[in-house]
Formats: sequence, C-alpha cells, structure tokens
Amino acid sequence: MIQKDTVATIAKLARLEFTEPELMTFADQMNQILGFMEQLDGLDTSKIEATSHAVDIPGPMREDRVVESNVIESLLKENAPDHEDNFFRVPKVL
Amino acid sequence: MSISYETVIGLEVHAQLKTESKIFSAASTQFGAPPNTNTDPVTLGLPGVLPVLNMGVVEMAIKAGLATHCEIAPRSIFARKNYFYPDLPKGYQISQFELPICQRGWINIKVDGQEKKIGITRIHLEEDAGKLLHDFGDSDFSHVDLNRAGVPLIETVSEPDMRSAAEASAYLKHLRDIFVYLGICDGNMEEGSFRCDANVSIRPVGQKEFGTRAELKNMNSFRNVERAIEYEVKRQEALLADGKVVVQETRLWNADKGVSESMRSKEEANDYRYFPDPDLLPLIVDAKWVERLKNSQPELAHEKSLRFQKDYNIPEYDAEVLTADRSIAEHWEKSVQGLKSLEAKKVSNLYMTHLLKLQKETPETFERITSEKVIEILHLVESGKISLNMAKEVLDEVAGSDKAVADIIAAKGFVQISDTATLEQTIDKVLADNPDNLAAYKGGKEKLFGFFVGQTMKALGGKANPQVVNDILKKKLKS
Repeated sequence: MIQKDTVATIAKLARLEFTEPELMTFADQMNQILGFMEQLDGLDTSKIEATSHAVDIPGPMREDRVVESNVIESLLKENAPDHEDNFFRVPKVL
Repeated sequence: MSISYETVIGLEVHAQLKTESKIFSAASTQFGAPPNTNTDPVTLGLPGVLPVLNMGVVEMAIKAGLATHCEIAPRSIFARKNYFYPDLPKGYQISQFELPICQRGWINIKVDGQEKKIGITRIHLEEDAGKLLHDFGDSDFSHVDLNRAGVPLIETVSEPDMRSAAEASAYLKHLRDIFVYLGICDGNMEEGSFRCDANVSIRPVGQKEFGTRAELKNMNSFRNVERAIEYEVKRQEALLADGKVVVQETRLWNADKGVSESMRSKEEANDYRYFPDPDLLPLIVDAKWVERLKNSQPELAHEKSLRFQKDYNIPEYDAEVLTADRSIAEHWEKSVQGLKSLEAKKVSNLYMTHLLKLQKETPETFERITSEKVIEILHLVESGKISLNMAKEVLDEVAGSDKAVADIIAAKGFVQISDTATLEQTIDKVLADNPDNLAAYKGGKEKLFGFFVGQTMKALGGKANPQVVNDILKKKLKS
C-alpha cells in the first residue's frame, strides 16, 4: 500500500510541492495502478527475466568522432535563465 | 582490555576514458576548452534529443575488463540514476546498474614482496557530470561549465579484499598502470581523470561480519588515499574504544588539515531511483568483437617486466623500473634491439641513471632523444669511438639542441683514443715517471693498478679508451 508519506517523499525528490488533498489523491491513484499490476501475481514469473526494453534489438552505436555544434552561443543568450560570460549562472549551491 | 581490529577496504575508481568524443554524443572531450564550448544538444539535455553510444567507449571498457580478468557481458543495459544538481543538466546520470559490461574479475597486487589477489566486482560505463565553479565572477552565484558533462567514465568497483592502506594504494597504482598501459586513461589523479573513493570499516579480528563503513571521498593523490584511510581507521578505533558506534556516512578528506569531515548526510541520500533508460537499447557485445580486442591487447607492465628479465637478462629491479612507463619500456627495447654488442644491462643503466632523469626534469625536450638517436650514439660506444660517459653528455646535448650527433661530438672534442701506439707511449711514460709506485706494485701492492690507469687517463685528458688502457697496462706490468 502506498501511503501519503511515500507520495510526499517521491514529490520531494522530484522537487514538486503538493497540498494534503493532492497527496491523498495521488496515493489513491498510485494504489489503483499497483492494483492493476498485482494481476501479474497470479502468473508464475519466476523463470522470466525482467523486461528492460519493449523491443529486443541491439542499441545502435556511433564511431568515436567529434562533430562541432555551436548551439551554446544562442542557447546561453536566448534560453538560459541566467548566464555570465560563457557560464550558466545558478543560485549559490555551496 | 584492548581488542585488536582488522581493517576492511573496498575501492571505487572512476577513470576518464581517452576518447575524442563524449559517451553519448559527438561533442569533444578535449580538456581545457573555454567553458561550455564542448557541448551540444545531447550534452545540454535539450528536449527531444536521443543519446547514441560511442563505440570507442565500449572498446575501452572491454579492454579494461579483459586486462582485469573480468567476464564481458554479452548484453548489458544502461540505467538512469536520478538526482537534481546544477552540474547534471538532464536531472539524471546515465550509468549501468543491474547489468554492467564487465563483472567478476581480479588483479594481483604486491605488498612487501607478498602477492595478493584482489577481486573486482564490476566495471561499468557511465557519463561524467559537469563542473561547478563557486569562486568565479559574482560571488552570490555558482557558475556551471558543462564541458565535462557526458565525458565517458568507467567505474571499477573492487571487492572488500584489502586489509591496509598500503594494500589499497598498491591496488590503486596497479589499476592505474593497467589503464595507462592500455592507453584508455591518462591516469592523472591531480587533474581528476583517475579518481578514487574508499569504503573503510573495521571489525574485531576473527569476526566474519563487516563493521559499519564510512565512504571516503576527495583524495586526489596516492599519498592522500593512504593518509585518509589511515586516519579513518584510527578514527573508527577511537569511536569503538569510547563505546560509541561508527555511523554510515560519506566523509570528505581535507588534505591540508590531514582530517576527514562528515559530509552531513544528505537527506534521502542514495535514493537514486535507478531504472533502465528507455532511450538506450541494450548494449550487445558479440564474442567475435571481444576476441578481436583480446588479440590486440598490448603487453602489460608485469608481463613485459618478466619478458625483459628473460630475453635481455637484466635484473628484476631494472625490468620493473623500465616497464613502469610504457613509453620508456618501448623506447628502451627499441634501443637495445638496434645495438650489436653492448650488453642490455649497460643500456638499462644508462636509462635508469640518466635518461629517466632527463625525461622527468625536462619532459618537453626529452622527445628529441629518440631510440634512433640513442642507437646512433651507442654505436659509437660499441666501436670504441666514445665512452659511455661521453655518450651521456652527447645525449644531454641532443635533448638541448637540434644539432647532429657528429657535430656535437666534434664540438666537444670527444674522441676516444684507442690507438695502441699512442696509448703505449703514454703508459710507458707514466710508468717511467712513477718508479716508486711501480716497484710497490711489483712488490705486491696490486691496488696500484687503478693509480696507473688514472694517471694514463689524466695524461690523455680522459679520452683514452679504458678497456684498451687496461689491456696494455696488464701486459706491461706483468713483464
């Protein structure tokens, strides 16, 4: 059973803030989702490996080669909330 | 009553791989580039991008695994390690969790002449995070440089098999030597391309269960790893002696103060909620690929040292000094192979007493001393034209200038006198000038032989071929 506290912990890790009623709602919804999953308990899965990916094909790879990208110039100026010289600037974290 | 404790140490080593591009994108990994210039949409974690694995990274990880006797997983997967910090643009680090690329290996270390096998639990692939600067520009802010974000790392996790700081240090050095020899990591601890965290605990001798461990971080040299572990063992012993308990925590080593400080257990620390990264399909490594890499593995330091002792008949000590650095080992072997009659031991002496010093003191000019130059100069020693001591001076000049060997020798007036007639004449004069010593020698004071050699050398300005002088003197003194 997912308790309100569990939802609060997950929310904190995700840097999300919720009201008490919201926490209750999410706890209920999560329990419903887990309820669906519990149907699997009726099956013998002891010999089945955990599925990590829905398609079973090898991941593609690339050669170790550098390709220049100039995205940073416009990104710093136009997208970053704050920057100084070539750095992103963030609230002091030390 | 005092209990004696046993120390238990396991190490986690992060090694930056020497690829051109990042682990999941084509951005450059070059060190020292202006802030944020080695970035691209993948590195920056922009929406809609997909990571594509760098094949070079996989090859290097397999090489590391093969050299440390690991099993190479035919199928491994990437996982997301979730946490928020400004040096991590995506909010998660791509790593490997359940199925790493290498597992169950070992390496042998040597401490005080004793060999010991240290188990390697796993080697997994992951991306590095960016860098935060706290003392740049406006001091009310932190500044983020993402050049390092996405640089490929391998994390090597050892079994808790080490029992002292010295063993931990030996393991770390050996692991670094292997990676450097393989050419997959530059092994620089100060610059952070080779980093080590240590898990340290103590337990009463004879007890099976491990004690509570502390994780030590921020040790940027071999010396500091040893110091930090020694400090930690004393700290834990003192706690237990006081009837207190060791708490599981991360501690930062402060090299200036010589102490470690608790890193205030971050709330919900270690709750990284790992899960398979849906953006990356399983990494499949076929046996042929592993076989091909196995066949192209370079000879490692230890094997090379054994072979040098056997093939060139040099002492173990020499072989170990020469093979500590792969470039020196190859340099030396190439030189020895180019020579005709000079014994390998003499060439080994030249390297150990002279060339290694030059390499260390003036690395920028050492490059001028190629094996070809060494061979050219030592051929002159073999033919008796110059002495080994003269050869050293010529080597210094080669490092210091672009002059040709012949010009250096001419300018220094280095000509070894091997001409028998000249030498006989000089020796006759030396003997005639020192009748008392000659009589003493003949009377049994054989130590005076050295005196006659010295006088002859002096008379010829040190240029006489010592071997020929010895031969002539022996003959003359017998008569």
